[in-house]
Amino acid sequence: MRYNKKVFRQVDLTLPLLAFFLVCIGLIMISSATQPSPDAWQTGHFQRQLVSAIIGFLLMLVVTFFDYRLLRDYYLFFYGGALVLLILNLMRGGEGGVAAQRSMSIGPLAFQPSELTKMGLIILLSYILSQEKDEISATALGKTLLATVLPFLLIIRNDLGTSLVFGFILLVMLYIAGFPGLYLLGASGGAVLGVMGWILVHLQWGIWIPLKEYQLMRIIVFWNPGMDPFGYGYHLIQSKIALGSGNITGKGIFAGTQSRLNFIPEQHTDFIFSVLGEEMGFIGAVVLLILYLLLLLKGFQVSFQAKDRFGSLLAAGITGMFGFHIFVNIGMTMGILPVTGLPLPFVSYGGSALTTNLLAIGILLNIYMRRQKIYF
Amino acid sequence: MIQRRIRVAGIIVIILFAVFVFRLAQLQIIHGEQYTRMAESNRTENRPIPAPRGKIYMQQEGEPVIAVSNRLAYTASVIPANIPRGETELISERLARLLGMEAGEISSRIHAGQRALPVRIMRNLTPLQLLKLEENMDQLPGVLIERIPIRDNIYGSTAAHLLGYVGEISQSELTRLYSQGYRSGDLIGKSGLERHYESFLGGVDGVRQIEVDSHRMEITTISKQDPQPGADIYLNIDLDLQLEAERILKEHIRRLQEKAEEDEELMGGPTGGAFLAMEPDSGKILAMASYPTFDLNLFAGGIDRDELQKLQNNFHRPFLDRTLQIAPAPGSTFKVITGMAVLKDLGLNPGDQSVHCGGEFSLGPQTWKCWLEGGHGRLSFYEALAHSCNVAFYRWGHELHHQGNNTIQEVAREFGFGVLSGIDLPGERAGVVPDRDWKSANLKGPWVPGDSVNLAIGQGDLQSTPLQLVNMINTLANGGYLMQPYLVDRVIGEEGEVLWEGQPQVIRKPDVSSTILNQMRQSLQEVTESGTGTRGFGDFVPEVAGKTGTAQTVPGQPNHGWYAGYVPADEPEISFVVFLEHGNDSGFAVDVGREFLEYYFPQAEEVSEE
Repeated sequence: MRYNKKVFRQVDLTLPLLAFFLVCIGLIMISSATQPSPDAWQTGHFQRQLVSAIIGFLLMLVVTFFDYRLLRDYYLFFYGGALVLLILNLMRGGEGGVAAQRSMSIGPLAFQPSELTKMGLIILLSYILSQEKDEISATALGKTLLATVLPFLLIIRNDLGTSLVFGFILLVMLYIAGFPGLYLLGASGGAVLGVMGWILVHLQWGIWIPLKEYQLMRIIVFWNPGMDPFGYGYHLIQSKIALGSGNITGKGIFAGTQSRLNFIPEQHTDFIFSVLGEEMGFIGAVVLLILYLLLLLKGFQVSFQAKDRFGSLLAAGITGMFGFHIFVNIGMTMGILPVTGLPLPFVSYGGSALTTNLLAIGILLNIYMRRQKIYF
Repeated sequence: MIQRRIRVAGIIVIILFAVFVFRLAQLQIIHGEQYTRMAESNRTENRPIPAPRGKIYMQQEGEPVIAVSNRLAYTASVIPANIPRGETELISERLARLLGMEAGEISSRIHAGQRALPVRIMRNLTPLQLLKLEENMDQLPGVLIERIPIRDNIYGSTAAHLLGYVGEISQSELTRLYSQGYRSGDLIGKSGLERHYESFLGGVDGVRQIEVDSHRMEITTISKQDPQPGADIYLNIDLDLQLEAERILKEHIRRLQEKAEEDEELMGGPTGGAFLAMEPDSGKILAMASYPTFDLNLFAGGIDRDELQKLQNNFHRPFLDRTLQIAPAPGSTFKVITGMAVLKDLGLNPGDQSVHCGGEFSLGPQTWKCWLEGGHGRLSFYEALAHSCNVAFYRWGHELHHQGNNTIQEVAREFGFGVLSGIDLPGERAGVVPDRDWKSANLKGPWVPGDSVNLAIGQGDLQSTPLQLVNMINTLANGGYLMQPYLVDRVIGEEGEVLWEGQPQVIRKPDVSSTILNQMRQSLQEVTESGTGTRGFGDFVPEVAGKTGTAQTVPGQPNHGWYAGYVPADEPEISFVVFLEHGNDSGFAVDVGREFLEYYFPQAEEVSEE
């Protein structure tokens, strides 16, 4: 490692600070959401999240000491390693519960390999696409498709949301890399229509579909939550009630009835935004949205100013990953997107996602520290 | 190229955020109020607090003594609205398994109930049922365990018929009483005083607004409106007399039933009986026993269906209140009425030996026999009544018939026969005093001399309740006032205020001269001194005045046994009537009366032994 004083003079604290604020909001909301055991400490969610946050920030710091171009040199190792972990975990899980299939234990820590897979994919795609010019060759396109489809298919049955993340990462990175936008628009529009058609055909004639019953129901009730208000529509309705009843200023932290009385499902993970909206109101929710907006814009700035194409693509991939999580999650809680079970970055409870996301912030920092000089 | 695209991505992100802010504003500001209401109704529920019913007191040595109270019992209830959709049958099955009920019954009750109100599935849970339920609550969404007051009948089966029982309100009662605040699942008086005084005893339910979690489990109470307990009722019934009357009635009937197993003449023995005691001057009911009886506490938690079936199918019909829900022929006790009609209309001197009994009385082809084979010979009015000579009364009845008067019927009505006594209990029967009009209306036949002959000895179509009979004899006891019989002395509200007070009330003063009344009272003493009551009461001090009765029933069935009297004969303190259904002979009724009087006048035995 070569210590470079000049590089560290370029450190910009915006990203770590934004992450820090978001993590703090998350910790508060998690302790509120893991009521009503009167003592919020009892469930241990807060403590575990705090530990994950500390680990994450340390990792962020450590990552800044390495040049991000190291990732380019070992891209296959990162991607391959993550994929192997994912496969191992799936084999181990067998036909067990979803949760068992999503996380694996390394020593005392339970870890979800799918989080690492996202990073591995971004690194691989950045590498492949950085080898191309703005005109992307058919070979490169094929490689990127293959790289994405592999984890996508591995995980779709257990975690539809994450498989969509893989797809979206590919989409964003192809776009940033210069792939014709209209094609991408057409392809993704076609995919959405194709899936909808498939579902309709499945419902009508029982054609096989690679989705589980609950995944299917979540999509169906998105169209009509009143169809099953006590079943699959329940989540959506209760989430909207929570948000709506927050009004402008909210019911106060720890005072949300929808969350305290467990009307919001998965309130410390997928639906934590509903808790925030209920307890902190419109003002709190908009503040959070602004923090996210700043984070994403900063991510794009990193991409914009990156020293090389690899760095730009890497930063864009990471930012795109954040953005997708944020939009899908918040959109889901507000009832404008179907329930897919993606956590809210930095805020939702979940150690793997939090540490991985902080690590990703570290990578963004790293790229930014080594950006091209812009003189005004 | 990359940088241009990044700029485009940034713009898309900003647009998306704007959409989100707009959507948030729509949810939280524009529709905020609506969602706030939804959140409120999510977390709150109104649960009724059943009001404790008023207590019922009897008297013991002049002091009130509690007979019916309440106790808190655990109740398994279901709030239909809280059952996840489509799981009613599943929950019913689980509950049925835990409580030992039938799933079909539970689910039909859930379906019949109001959605937001608790449907009580089983009251008065046993500790084991409670434990099983509590252990499985997480599998029983919509089920709740309530702690609500149920009836506690301290003396179990004592005075069961008059106290009555409570039960869950029926659909027809609900329709009628909804405006008065009754709701499905409420308990309501179904019989006896519980029913008659429901408006006092019922009370007004309170309501509790509670906060519930998503499993509809109670978290805290938000607000509470206390229930208004029902008013307390104080009875004229003397607990000791009541207990004693019931014990004696039961023992005698049981003994006769046992005896009947060996003695064929008893034809199975009595199938039931009644005893009534009344205070002469006021009409207060002091004791009122019907046998067989049943345990009121079976109803406290809503009766077990099998138990109910068993009671309802019981040959001896324990639910029947034999003091006022049956109207058998009064037999010879009715000679008191006929006698007064005779004294009134035939103008005979009761001391003169003016009538002859040759053992039978004939009218055309028909012949009626006296109960004494060979006849009583020449008799005065006093003797005829004392010995309860049928032939004498046949003759008089026939004579009255020929005069064309309805005097017997008129006197009978004056003394309260044929109409409801108006006692403060439900289900009373009016009985029948047959006459020309009644017969043509009900039997489509003319009133013939034979009808008057039968009526004269209290047979034929004449029907009277034991209550009417005690009221009749009581009118003689108090010197000619038909009193309104009543059970409730006073109703006391929560703060001690008197809500209602029972007052002695004269229904009427029968149109019979005091001379005739005194002659009749004299006759009733003769019964004890030299007639059919001598064996039972001849040696009893103070002197008893009264009349025996053996009433024929349908052919092949044993006669009913009656005794109606008052003590002491000169200054009556108590009037009473004994009725033994198919008791064969009035002598057995006299035995019951004797044992009761021995209890009531404890010094009497000592005096007579000296």
